[in-house]
Amino acid sequence: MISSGSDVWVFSERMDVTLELLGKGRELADGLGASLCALVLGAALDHEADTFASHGADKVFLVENQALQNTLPEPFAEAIGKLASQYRPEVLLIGSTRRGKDIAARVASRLETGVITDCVALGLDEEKRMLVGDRPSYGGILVSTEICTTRPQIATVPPRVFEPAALRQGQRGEIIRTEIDLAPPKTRVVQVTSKEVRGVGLEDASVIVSAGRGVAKKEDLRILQELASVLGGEVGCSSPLAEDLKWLPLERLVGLTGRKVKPKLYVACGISGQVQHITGMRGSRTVVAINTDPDAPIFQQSDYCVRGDLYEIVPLLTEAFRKIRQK
Amino acid sequence: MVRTVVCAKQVYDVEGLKVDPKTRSLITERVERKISDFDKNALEEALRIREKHGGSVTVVTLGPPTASDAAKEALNMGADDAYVIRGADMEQLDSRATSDMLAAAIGRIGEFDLVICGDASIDMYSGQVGPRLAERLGIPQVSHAKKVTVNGGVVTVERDLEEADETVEAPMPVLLTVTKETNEPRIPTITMIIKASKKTVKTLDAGELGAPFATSVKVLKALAPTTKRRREVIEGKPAEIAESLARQLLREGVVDG
Repeated sequence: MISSGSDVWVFSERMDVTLELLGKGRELADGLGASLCALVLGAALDHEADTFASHGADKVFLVENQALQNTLPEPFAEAIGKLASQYRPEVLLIGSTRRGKDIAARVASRLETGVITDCVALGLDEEKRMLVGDRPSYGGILVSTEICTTRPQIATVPPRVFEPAALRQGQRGEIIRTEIDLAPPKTRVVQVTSKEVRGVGLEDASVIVSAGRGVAKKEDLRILQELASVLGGEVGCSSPLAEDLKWLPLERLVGLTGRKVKPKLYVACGISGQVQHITGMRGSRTVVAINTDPDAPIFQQSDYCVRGDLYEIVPLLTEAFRKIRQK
Repeated sequence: MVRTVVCAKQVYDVEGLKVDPKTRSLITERVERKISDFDKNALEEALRIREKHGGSVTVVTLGPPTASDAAKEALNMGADDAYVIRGADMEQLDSRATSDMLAAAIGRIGEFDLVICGDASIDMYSGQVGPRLAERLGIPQVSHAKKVTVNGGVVTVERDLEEADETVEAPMPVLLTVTKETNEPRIPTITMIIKASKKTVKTLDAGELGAPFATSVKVLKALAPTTKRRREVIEGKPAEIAESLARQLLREGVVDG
């Protein structure tokens, strides 16, 4: 079976990410008038193949091979490269995990094409049949809009960017078992240790109260901690407090060199709002800024601007939430 | 004896960059250029391997004419040799052209046991050049290396993946990519700089390496993202401000009532 050479393919070593790529892939395939195909590589993956076939994939290529046991980039790239050389997809979406990006790079090198990495948005120029990807660059200070001028057009997409594909009642894609000769990997995985899951990090916090240079002493962070506790949130900070003064550990740092957060509420206390900090908190739903300097750039990036002293406002805010809750 | 090639990119110091609020473009004037952070970790790791096992460290870089400063910096840190690939439009290269050019240069420089790159450059952060280069050179890669141990012809690498830590053994030649957790790069002392002053940066001509090096990815535009914020000023006495802000945030549902 030879495809038309215009299909949209998706691959991730993670099932949840593959479903998200199928969600976006369906839209792209419809725009191109093409088929949507999922790649399943490994062993004993019939269940995954079945799931993708019922979640929007018109075709599922299932490759089982000894070399595909440990998600090593070389055999995965060889498998995807060989399939793509045979069936010539127009678009290939790969999950932007660390493993996925390694695989994407090697596939692209084999096929002499490029990769638009870490796309946070993907559009289509239907006339030119061109994928258009938006991705953060310069640590998130800029968003670059990029295209790939050679085929296949490869893009990597981080987890949780797109909605997962829904179950399509009564529609089932075709599962195609394919045999591919693969070189045995030269590297050997000796040990795998799952990481322990720690408490709520900043990335998962629903409320973040963040401290900047407006906080005069380390002990005063307590005022912010109290507000965070009342709101069930976490305390973060801007770079001077973590990198220069070291009042808080690096894992509390929000910004270019720290965490990129997306809480429902972000309260910036005494933070001036340099672009390096904004980069880390841009994804917040609602932003409150408290700063004595009426010209602080943070006010341009805030929903609620309080021109005042955090030492006055923050304790009163904590008190106000306590009171309202008691009623 | 381990012959190591380190690939390094010169980048703007991202922490010094500003954005023009009118054009939403990057202001790069007076911003310093430096060796990209993780590439410095790559060089440091290569130097440590040489100190322990003997061998050599060769650095390859490419880019605009200022890239020779990066090569010089690498010599100051202790590299035996540093090459700059020169050519036209070197700032427009994507990962494809860059990795193909590096592969050609490494082929020209000679035999190697190890290639070390940074996980990604701090400006574009694509993380593509290392694995692409490995594919071109026909060797395996181990990315995101936290700890590297060389034993005979085998490299043992502890690597950091999102969900797990993995230990991998790879026979040389192999390409590794490293990150800031791998080591703390040395800062050249005056003595080191004086010693390095006798060495010269070598150049390679992109045209002679087998041009043209084709690109695939094109940047259509690169602008600071706009976030629509309401910028509502809350005025009043401090207690009134706190009260009305608290009520508003509860109404919006961004905090639990």
